[in-house]
Amino acid sequence: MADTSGIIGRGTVVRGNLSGSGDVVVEGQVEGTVSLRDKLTIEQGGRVLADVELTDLVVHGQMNGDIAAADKVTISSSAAVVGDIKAPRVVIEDGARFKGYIEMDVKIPEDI
Amino acid sequence: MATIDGTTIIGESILINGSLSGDEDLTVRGRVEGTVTLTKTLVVEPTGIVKAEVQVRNCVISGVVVGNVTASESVEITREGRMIGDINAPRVIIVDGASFRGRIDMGEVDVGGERAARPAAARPALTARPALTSRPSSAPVARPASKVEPKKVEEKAVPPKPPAPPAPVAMGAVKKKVVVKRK
Amino acid sequence: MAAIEKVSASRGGAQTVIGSSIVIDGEISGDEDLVIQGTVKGKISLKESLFVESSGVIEADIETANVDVSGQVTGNIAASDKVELKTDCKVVGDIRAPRILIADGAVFKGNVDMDVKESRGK
Repeated sequence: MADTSGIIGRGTVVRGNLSGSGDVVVEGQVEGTVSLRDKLTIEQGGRVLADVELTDLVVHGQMNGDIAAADKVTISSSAAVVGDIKAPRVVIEDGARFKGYIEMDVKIPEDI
Repeated sequence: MATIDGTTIIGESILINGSLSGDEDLTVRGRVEGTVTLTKTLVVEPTGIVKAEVQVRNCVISGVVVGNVTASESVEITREGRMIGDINAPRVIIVDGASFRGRIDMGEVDVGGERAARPAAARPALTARPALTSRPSSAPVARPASKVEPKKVEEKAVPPKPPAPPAPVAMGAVKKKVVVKRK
Repeated sequence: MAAIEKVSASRGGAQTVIGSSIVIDGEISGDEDLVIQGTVKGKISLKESLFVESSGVIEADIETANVDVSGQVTGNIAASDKVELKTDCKVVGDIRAPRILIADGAVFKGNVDMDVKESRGK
């Protein structure tokens, strides 16, 4: 688990490219692009309006953008997400709001 | 007759090819191809394969489903479930370990804002999809030669600018109250 | 989603039961017993036994090892072992099987051919 290297607080709005290593927690708003080596957590009340590229994403708040994750995307029950997701693992909890495309690796028998 | 609560079960070695409809729960352990229309719950067990257009109240997928699923209440893909197709349902649950590829549409989803403008190069590599968030945008005012086009196309035409994204006015124009829309 | 396993207490330990509100329009095939309480139109082809219960309505040609009819069948039946028409059933169609039982009260209209292995009409 990487160290939390950034917290974007409740009243803060970031516009631009957000990149780096370490975990980032968003309680405010981020617009632009996000490219992280580790994990992004969008807390309830937080909002990200950006395409994101990272290892892990956990959304409790709101997000509008495409997601490319190397490991796992979790959309929790308080979250609202609009966008396309490409990740090996995606979890949608009961109560989550989501609209978009999800691409995981789906292994099914040949004769389908 | 020993059927419990009118539950229909399709056994492992059974193949049904055609249209299946009914007013009871259906559990599939074998293979069903074609269309499935139920007023109740479809359960696809780990050995089950459903290659069909499905219209049900609830759907629980622990096997393989290839086709679109429309549910009036919920769709759940469990850990062993695998699905390729689109889901239209107000509640969707995907458990960790499930596999899924397709669209999910839960109806209106309010995220309190539009995706920000970004340079085309920074876009993560994804399979090409048409513009999703086709909300009518009030933004075009600030842009040169403004047309009423889907927001995505607009942003690609704008050349990348170093420090700040272009036209902050755009974001201000569509700023909405924070409303997380629940079902 | 209760007690799905208990359904196998039906005839012959059948695991597949088509309930009474189900309508299937198409082909059914398989290697196990099948109990039909609903409606099937099309074709049924099984390696084991077919049980058509009293609420069952079949408009299909049937090919199985055994058939046990208490409901309605409109279509030809070919069984490699036995066909049994129970009281109050209604069958319209030809039956081909080495053994056939027709109970008192069964309604049947069609041809019967009990000579499956040899050439017909001997």
